[in-house]
Amino acid sequence: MARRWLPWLALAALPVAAPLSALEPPSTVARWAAACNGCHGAEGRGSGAMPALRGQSADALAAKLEQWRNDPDAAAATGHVMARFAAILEPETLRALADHYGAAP
Amino acid sequence: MNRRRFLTGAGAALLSASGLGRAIPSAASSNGPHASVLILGAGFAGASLAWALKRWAPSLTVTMVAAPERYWTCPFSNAALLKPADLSALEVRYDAFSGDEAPTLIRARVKAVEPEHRALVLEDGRRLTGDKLVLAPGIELATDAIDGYQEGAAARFPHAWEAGPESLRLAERLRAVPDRGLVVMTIPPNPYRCPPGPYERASLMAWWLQKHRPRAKLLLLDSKDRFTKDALFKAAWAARYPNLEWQGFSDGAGLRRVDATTGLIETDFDRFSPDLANVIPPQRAPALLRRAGLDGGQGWCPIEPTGFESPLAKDVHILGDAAIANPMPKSAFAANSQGKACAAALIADLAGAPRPDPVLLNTCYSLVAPDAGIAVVGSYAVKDGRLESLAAGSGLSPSRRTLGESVTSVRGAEAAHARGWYDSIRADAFREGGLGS
Repeated sequence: MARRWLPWLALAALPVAAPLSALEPPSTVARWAAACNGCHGAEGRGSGAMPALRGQSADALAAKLEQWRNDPDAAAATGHVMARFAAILEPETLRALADHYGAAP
Repeated sequence: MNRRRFLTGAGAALLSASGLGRAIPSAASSNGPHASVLILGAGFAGASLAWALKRWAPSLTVTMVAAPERYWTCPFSNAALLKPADLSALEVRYDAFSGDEAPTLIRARVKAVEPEHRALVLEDGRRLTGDKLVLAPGIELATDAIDGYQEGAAARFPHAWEAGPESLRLAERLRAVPDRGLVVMTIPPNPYRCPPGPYERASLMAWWLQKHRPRAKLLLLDSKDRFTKDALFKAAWAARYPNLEWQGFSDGAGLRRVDATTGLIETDFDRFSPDLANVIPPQRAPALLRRAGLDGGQGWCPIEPTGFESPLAKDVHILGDAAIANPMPKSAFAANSQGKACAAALIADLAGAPRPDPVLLNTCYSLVAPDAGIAVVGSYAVKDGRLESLAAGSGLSPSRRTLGESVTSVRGAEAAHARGWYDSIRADAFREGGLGS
């Protein structure tokens, strides 16, 4: 019985949704920031011992990421998590991420 | 009347079976083709996907369907064994899922998945479709794979592998173990939800027993020889828990049979009659997906890694624990990361643009004691159509030997990070605590 209506169902789903023309895939930095927020919280606001990224100075964030990326000793202790992620960031993405959070209020 | 109430009240996400052909009017309507995403599951994968879609494509219609039962997160449910009162803090209440800015959440049971129509058939007769269907239903416990584990065995052998009342039952049973008692945990073969979970739980149980039942013993019967962070866990156990013994598959510890009537646990080499057995069953993708053929007969669902689309069903994407996404583990963090990567791919697909390279990360924190944590880190990329670990972006907490005297402070700091991570990922995935935009 329900199968009869399948063509209708497919058509009917269309009018409630967004116009395709308005859709634009997120930028590289937006996608990276989203991944960072898995530890640093919604919009990078942090929680408890997990530091907020939002609102830190862009230069300080970039310097910290560079340090993790370049200094093996930084990978010791609890820096090992960030050292691994910093290691796979392209330099321009690293800077763009620092700017992304640094520009946020 | 807000939109969520309207949709629920009207009995339709996109359309009710009885509302044949009649669309729901929407303020988002405009000229030209439109798009909608229908999601099964509101755990870490489904919720992260839904919010990422609303963040990056606010005009997209995003509808989620999740079971009406209450939901407690598995992350930190092991810690709740020590402090059962904390379990209530693990409940996700979905307070942010209302209003026009939010994904629409329908609490209903799903009867069938129809991949060829990108449709979910609900038990109440509604039939929902989307331009994209994303399935993130979590796991099913394969209790039928354990010989002797009949109906009711979960009461005798509480698994607590889905957090909630079972976690409380396990906590109560732990407290009923006598001094000189024996606690057994059986650990399933790979793959299963939360690879380090059994070992974290074992650590915390050993910690509790040491404190409250100093002559009791905890025996781990593992169906495998190696496990995630094994060197770190074993070093912590050697230093802290003489009451804990681990036996692997080569030691004959593979689970052969249980007897729910007598409480007997039988392995390849031995038989045990413990005071408490925490039998963690093997796992697989939920029957809904397997009945729809989405596991290709493998028990878990294959995906292609750029958008987590099923190779068996176009425009059907599978995320989180139900998917075969190795080397990514079945973890909350991986689910969160996959949700966002999938969101980017869905938007690209709907816009007719190329999919971006997915950003896929994982961090799993585990407590080896209430005040001591360890972590494993993973980063992943698509190579030749497969997911691979990036060596430079992967690793473990430093060993005790490397850390020397600073081991206590570093493990303590990682335990604090674990708690901060938990609050953060909840705020991110479920938009709790008034965070987020």
